[in-house]
Amino acid sequence: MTSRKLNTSNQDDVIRGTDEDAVTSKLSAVNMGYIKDEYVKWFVRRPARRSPIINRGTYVRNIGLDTLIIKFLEIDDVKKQIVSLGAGSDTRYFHLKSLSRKFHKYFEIDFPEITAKKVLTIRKHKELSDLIGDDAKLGKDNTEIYASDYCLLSGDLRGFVQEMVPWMESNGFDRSIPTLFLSECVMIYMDSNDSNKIVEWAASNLITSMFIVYEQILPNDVFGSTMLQNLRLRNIELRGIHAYPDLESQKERFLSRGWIHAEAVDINKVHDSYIDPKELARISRLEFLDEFEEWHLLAAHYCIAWAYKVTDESQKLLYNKVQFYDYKNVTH
Amino acid sequence: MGQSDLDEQIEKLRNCELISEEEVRELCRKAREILIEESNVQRVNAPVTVCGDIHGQFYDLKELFKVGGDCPKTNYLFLGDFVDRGFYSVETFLLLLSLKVRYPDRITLIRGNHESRQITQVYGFYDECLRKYGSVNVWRHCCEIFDYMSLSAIVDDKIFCVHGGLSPAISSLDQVFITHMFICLRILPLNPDEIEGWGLSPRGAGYLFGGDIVAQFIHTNNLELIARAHQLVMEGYKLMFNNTIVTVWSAPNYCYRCGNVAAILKLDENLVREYKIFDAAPQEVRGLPAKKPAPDYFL
Repeated sequence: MTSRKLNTSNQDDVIRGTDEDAVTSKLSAVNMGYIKDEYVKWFVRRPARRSPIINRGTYVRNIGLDTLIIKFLEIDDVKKQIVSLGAGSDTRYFHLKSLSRKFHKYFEIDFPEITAKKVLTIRKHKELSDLIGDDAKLGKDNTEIYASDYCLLSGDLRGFVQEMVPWMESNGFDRSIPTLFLSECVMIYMDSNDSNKIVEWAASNLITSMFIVYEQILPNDVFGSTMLQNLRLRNIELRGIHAYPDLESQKERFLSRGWIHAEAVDINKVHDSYIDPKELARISRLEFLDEFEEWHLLAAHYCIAWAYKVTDESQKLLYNKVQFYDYKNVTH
Repeated sequence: MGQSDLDEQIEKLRNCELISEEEVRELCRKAREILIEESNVQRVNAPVTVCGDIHGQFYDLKELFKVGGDCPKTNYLFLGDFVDRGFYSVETFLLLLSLKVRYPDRITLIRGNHESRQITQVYGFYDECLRKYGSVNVWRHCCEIFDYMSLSAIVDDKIFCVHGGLSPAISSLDQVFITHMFICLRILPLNPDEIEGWGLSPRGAGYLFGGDIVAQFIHTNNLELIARAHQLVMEGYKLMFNNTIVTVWSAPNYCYRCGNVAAILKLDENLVREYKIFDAAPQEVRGLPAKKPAPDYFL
């Protein structure tokens, strides 16, 4: 991995800053009682209370992704791999591990500046390092961790196929094991030429694989163009948004690259149909959210897209189950 | 506090400068004397320009005055939600309140659901007072004023104006509905919807009222129109139920995020309606405060 370039351009710094923003929002949602996560507090430098609309969005994002991830993990009994692209300070590994979920390996990849911080935080808190286990080893100037079911790697996703894949493979990545790729507001910052290579590789080099994306859509209406403008003021450029600007193109992104099944829904759909009404009632009591018009606008501009690829047709039935439960179409 | 002091304060606030805590206290004392005399269905004469939510978007309020004309040249009726969300709730509310004290017959302020102790603690006004004054005294003074504000107004006996909408507790304007309106305003937003009768919002967001309720209310009280605010409308205003109810929204690019235009409703002396649309103040005018980060997204 010596050829891996450390890109320190300003844009990259800004994108790394988005990790801090996301994890701060997550802690806000945890502190307000929306979601449970014992570990996120150690990754936040300056806790801040987010507005109810952001807390609700963080909640839906989290519960939406967790629902699909857990269903993937529950398919038959084989251990699986997760590759969290641009994982940043995400604590999902620790959270799932504390719930006794088992992995063949959980890979996290991010810029070395970010993984170095993560290594520090993990070493500082026994609760975190205990979950990883005693056999964890550090590498690459303390920017990487290699443990029995956890692997934190530093690198640049623009070199995913040439540089990251061989490095993952020398660290236990197994092409024959069902693998889930996660991109939570990550590929959206990449040129689609670069992100497409990851999507293509994941479909054509594994026996069974799954992809879950959470990112922005609808850049062309007034809310969307205001969003791009506001993010630009913070030097954040959503490079990928015009390539996959809506739910249809989000699905096409996968279907045209070797995936056999793809779906995409916006956050309004997840919120209105895929969350247990009892849960919605519970979070409504946590904080008063009065501006549903604004919520609908915001939620319409984020989506969850997922796709799978199986080699064995009989697996299709199993993977179709990685799906949301529709509470709307059920009579109680 | 003399009139020239007050004029000086208004000038300061027009420039988005703060007045002192002592001045706020005195302003609120004066305002209380005026507001306590107002009715919960405050009578207002046309011509008057009706404005919806402002939400601390001070520089956009200045755009509003550009489009609608300055107070007192133009008479104004604001439908509440002066504070929260935007960066300048303090300056916005104090400017409107000092105009009220200076020209009590020229401007009417009615209460929105954000004019509340609870909601301002979640949505920004409380924090803003604390940040700008180093104490919560100004917030306390303002909250006390909120309690004195009218809950509705009626223009020339024909146009009923309220922040959110109708409540199941009122059918006629003669009824004493203060308590119920108060609760509804504070806790439950009231929104018109394509339903019949009353409904509870499926999302737990309060009451909904249907076209039949509006028609009945209009008929019982011999009205022409109900004007309300409270809900973001991307086009600035929205008529419903055969033009019997209108939502007026006066916070352009709401929360600096939504990209919407805003509107005000100008009623001339014959109650002829004219909607005036306006955009957010240009970026370079409104200059985001250095410390306050840009609007939140999920990143």
